Amino acid sequence: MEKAQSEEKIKKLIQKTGAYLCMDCSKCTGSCPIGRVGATYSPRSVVQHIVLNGGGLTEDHLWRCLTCGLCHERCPADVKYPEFISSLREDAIARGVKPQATHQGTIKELMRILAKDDLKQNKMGWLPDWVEVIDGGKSKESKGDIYFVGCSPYFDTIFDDFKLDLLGTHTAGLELLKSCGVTPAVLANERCCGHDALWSGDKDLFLKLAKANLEIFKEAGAKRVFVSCPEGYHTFTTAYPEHLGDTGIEFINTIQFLAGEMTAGIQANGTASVTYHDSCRMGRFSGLYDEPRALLGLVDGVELREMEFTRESAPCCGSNLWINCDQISRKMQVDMLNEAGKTGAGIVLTSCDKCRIHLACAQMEMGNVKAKIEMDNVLQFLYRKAVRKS
Amino acid sequence: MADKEERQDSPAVDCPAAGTGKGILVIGGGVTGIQAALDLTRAGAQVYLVEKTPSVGGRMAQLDKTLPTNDCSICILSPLLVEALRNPNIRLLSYSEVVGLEGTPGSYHAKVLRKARYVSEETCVGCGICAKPCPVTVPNEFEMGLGDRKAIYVPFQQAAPLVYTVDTENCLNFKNGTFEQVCDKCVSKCPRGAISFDLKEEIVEIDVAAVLVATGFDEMNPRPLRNLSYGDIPDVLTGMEFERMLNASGPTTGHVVKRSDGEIPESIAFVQCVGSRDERYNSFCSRVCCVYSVKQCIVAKDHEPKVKDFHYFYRDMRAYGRGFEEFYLRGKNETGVNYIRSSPSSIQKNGNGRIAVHYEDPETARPASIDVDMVILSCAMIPSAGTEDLAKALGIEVGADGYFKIEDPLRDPLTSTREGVLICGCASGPKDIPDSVAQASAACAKALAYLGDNKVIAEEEPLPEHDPDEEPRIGVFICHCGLNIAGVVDSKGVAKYAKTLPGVAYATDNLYTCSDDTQKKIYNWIKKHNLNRVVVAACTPRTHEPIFRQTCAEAGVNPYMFDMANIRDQCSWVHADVPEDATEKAKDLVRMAVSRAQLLRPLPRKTVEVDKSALVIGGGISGIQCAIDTARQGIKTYLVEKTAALGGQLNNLDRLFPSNQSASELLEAKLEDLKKAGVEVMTSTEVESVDGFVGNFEVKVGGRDLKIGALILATGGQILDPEGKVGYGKFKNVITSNDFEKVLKETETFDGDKQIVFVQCVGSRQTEGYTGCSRYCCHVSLKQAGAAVKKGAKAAIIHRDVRAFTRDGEALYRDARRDGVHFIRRPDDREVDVKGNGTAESVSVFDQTLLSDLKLDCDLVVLAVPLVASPTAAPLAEMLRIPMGLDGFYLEKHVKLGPLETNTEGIFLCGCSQYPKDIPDSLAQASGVAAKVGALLSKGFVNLDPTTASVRTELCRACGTCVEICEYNAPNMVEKDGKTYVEINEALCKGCGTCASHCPTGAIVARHFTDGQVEAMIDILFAEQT
Repeated sequence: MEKAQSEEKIKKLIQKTGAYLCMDCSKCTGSCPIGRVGATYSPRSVVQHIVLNGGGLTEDHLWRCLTCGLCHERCPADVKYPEFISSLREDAIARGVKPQATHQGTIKELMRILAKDDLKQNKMGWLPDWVEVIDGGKSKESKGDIYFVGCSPYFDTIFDDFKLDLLGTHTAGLELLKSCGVTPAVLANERCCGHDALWSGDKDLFLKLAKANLEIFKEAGAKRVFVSCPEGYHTFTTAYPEHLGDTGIEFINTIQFLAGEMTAGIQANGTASVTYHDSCRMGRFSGLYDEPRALLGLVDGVELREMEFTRESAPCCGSNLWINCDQISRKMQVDMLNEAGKTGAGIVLTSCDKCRIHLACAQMEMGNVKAKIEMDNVLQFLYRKAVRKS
Repeated sequence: MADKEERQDSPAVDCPAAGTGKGILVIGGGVTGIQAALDLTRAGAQVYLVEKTPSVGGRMAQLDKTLPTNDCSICILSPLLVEALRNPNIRLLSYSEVVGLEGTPGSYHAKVLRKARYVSEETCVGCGICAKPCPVTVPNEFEMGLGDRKAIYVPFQQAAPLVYTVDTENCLNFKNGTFEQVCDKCVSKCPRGAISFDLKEEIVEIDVAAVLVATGFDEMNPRPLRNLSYGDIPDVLTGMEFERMLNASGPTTGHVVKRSDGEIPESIAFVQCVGSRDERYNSFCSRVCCVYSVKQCIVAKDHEPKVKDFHYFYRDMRAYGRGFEEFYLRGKNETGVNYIRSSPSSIQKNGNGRIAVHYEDPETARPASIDVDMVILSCAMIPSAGTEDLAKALGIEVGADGYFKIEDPLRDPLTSTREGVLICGCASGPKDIPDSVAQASAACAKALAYLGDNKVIAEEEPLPEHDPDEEPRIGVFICHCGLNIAGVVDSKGVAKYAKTLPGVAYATDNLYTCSDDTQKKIYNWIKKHNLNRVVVAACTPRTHEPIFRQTCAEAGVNPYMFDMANIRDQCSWVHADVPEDATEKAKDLVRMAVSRAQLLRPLPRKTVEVDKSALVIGGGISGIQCAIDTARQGIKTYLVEKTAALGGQLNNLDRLFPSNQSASELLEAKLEDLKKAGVEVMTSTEVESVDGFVGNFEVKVGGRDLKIGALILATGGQILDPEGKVGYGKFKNVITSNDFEKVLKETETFDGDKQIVFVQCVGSRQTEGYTGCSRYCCHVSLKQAGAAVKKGAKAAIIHRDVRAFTRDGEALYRDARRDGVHFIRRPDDREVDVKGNGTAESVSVFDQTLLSDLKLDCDLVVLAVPLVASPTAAPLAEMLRIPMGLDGFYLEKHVKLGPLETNTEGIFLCGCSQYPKDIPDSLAQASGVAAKVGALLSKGFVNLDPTTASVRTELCRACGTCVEICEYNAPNMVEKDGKTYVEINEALCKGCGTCASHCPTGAIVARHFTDGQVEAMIDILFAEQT
């Protein structure tokens, strides 16, 4: 009975993700970044295996995929492989199969803690003075504008030794929004958005987090929620409505908003040459390629040097969901940093701070990196390096 | 005679009533539109041919070679262009667009916008003086941007009409379409005053009975597929761009070179399915790319032997047509093409000046990369620009794929969503040339039915006569054929040499001797120099003799006072390495032709009356359709079927792709049409004997003697008996796809656990025997597996390539997948093994996707077996002396342009008698044949070639050698006045000369190749040269 249920489930997920339509063209396997650095991984073979057998995937095949979406980007049959594999993970988790968590499971546990009812958090002490922090009840001043911070305060502590100033991203985001006349409030007890739980197959956890967040948003009277984290943005705009219906809230990507609001006239503190890494959730998943580039283009004295692989073809930062990090991940990170170094730019910018953490991790480990390249978040870079004219 | 009267009493009852339209409107001047226009005029119709661009010719004019014969594309097209252009019943409206269509079938009123060329079509002679001083240079569309043109231009050298056009997008005198003169360089330089910016666009209104739409396709720009780097790397080209590069008249004069540095590439990658079979761009299959890329490999190797490697990336090798599978294998075996069944994931600069193609190695399922110097992308064939606007103007619909919609592809594969508006060629989806021209002819049959008797049949003028003894005044014309000849042979030098030959009154050289403007020049030279004989040294008389003969006739020279020397196929092409020797050989060939020309004699036109009747042999769907469309043109039509029932294979089928109509309903409807059309049907009857010739066949059938004007072979095919293959015959539950149709018919729902395994290519695509692809089987299995799954069964298809190449085929494939049919790809060299005990229980196969052996449980195994020729085909071929291919199917007259005719005039073929095909293609062919028959019989007589053999009876000793050796049954032994001798039936004689060469006494003379003429050629070849 259970087996039949599982079979039926798997049939449904094959239908839903369009995996039946795989025409075995090989583009996915040729594209897959983990395969390119030595892993044995062929999405089309995984699909054929599941279609023919209805299950029985090795754990390596199940957890190895980074859900970076490059295969889907190029798939002529529009097979949603990242969704396909995460749906299979959901089925596996239901059977008690679990992935190998990184960082001693700290972050996984943190997500579970963040899903608890009536959770009180104290993580907003670093905010600029003008920002209103709502701890229960409605916003007094923000007219429904909320800024979602996300996991950065926790990550900033966990990865303290990386010296990435992950909170600076949000300070910058808030200040830049303010310069455009938007002064959002933040919520003291916002939860993790649930992105990692969702993509690693823990749907129950995702739903708990999502419901808790929506409740808090609604209580605060949120109309517009600004999100700087690409994972958060994609989760709010795609997964929330898919699983919980229309949220009634407008989620706005901070960079996209700023690119629309800010016009010419940003002066740089000196000159800089930079390169930009398109993170998967910002680029392939949300289609935001031009916006960060447009913002950088507004700054006088900043030269953008593109890497060989950018935009739709951008590489993956090598790790995702805080699971299954290994030599393959490291190799990808080193490759990417070398690619960035090849441009001759002094700084590699990204809009995803998780990318920044993973790349910094590799950079700390490796003594042999040719290019000791600086890393920054687009928002921080803009805020710190540039002064708005007039 | 009684027969004849009876015919007048029973006109075809189902003819649409003729209206006020006095002609047919053909939109699009590519090969499809041109073929349609010519077929229509042959049947007596006035044609208005509207072409959007400045010249007719379309895509075929851009191609280098056509496959599988690798004939020069423009060379086989150009004669048709010239014929269309000089045809008095074709009014060519080039640089024009149809902007409106009112009225009803038979009585349409069309509005055509003639755009302003700013050059007078009447005055311009195409000299090109205007273009030289033009200061604006832009990429030439004809060269796919690889070459340049000016803002006043002709698209290509053989353009028809050869009239210049001002491109207002780029001319300095136009700003956003508004004229404001700033430059008059072209106007002031034109010696004839042909250029005027005062010329205005105008609307032409015409009344037509029907409209044919043949607007073709465009090549998709692959720029949006950013990972393939088109536009970023100059050596990544599209298929059409490479086609121009391969062309001797193209931007690199046929040399394969890298655009980045002009060097010859060592290694070229070909990538299939770029933007087609892709949900994000075009989900349909572009149908022609797999095989044209093989052709490009072969031709590129031929042009540039230094190219070492061809890496050919594909998804499913769709080599479905006649001879295609063999052609694909030829690419591997002869040219060394490295076929890789993988779709590249990305194409990037490799950092060392070469190009890295990233892909998955299908043998290991691991990512791999290969460095190449050039990449050719086979891009999707998309509807030609302006399709939607034209659809609006014509009041018809387009399908989801953007091509014009066909209302009911099974009932009528040509009619759009508006009656009397017919779609043919690539306007209804990608097609190759033979399928397109077959559709062109088919659309003619439909269109002619609306025209009724509103025809213009011109009286034919007698051929010019000469005093055969007047002093020869020979004109010699030496062709450059662009660079095809002049790139090797010194054409100017040969012309100079020709002037010195005895009897030559005038000699010159031409860039393209076959182009329309050169015909005008030859006409003038004949008049000016009072020529009475003409020699053209160019390509082959097989394709080009008719054009030059007609030019001669128009200028007052008897067309048989003409000779050709082939200095291309037999000289410049084969001696490209030794240009000086080639030039000497060309001179020899010209000298020989001139010496023969001196002895040529005028011949009169011969005509023979034709009987306005047709006999269709074979009562399957093709024969039925052909009979209907033939009878609708007022031709007495007989349909003979050897079995007791009409319908052929249709009787075995359940539901039909693509509209899911039931086969029996379709058949019923067609039989109703057949009845209404007044076709006389004979079942359980076979043709006993056939004598006679075109227009006058004498047929014994079912005990009757019929006089028949045209014969149609629609003998179809039959399923190959798969005895002994894949468990067939050994296990009861291993059946053919034909048997499974019956199962589908009888089954409402299958038991949910029923496992059906389909096995493709059982008996086809073999290394020996049936080497070809049977073309229809992939679609059938997709349809059947899809239907089985919908009825509750589980289905898997074991295939080698899924060849779902038709317009709706890819959707059928996708639907089968969506419905849960499993697909297992097996390598060519791994067989399928069926095991069981009395009944088949499992099927084992190597799965190329999983790279492992796979065992599938089965309750039923369905074998997709190929269609082979009908057993009646061979005896009929012998009776009619019709050639058959090695595959056992009848051979068509020309693989590209003559898919419906046989080598014997008056005998046609359609449907699966030519090669396996699906129902829409068979129907199109059948209707096409009907149009050909109509054209042949409409005038009541046909012209015969007078270059036949004749007998000097006084020398004939009645040995019978000629009777024995003649392929065409032309010589007959007769007894008259006590003498026995041979007579030649001139209607059957092909003038091949075989009999003359074998006649021991010299009694037989080949009229156009007398011994004297041949001896003169040999004598002059070996004569001492001074």
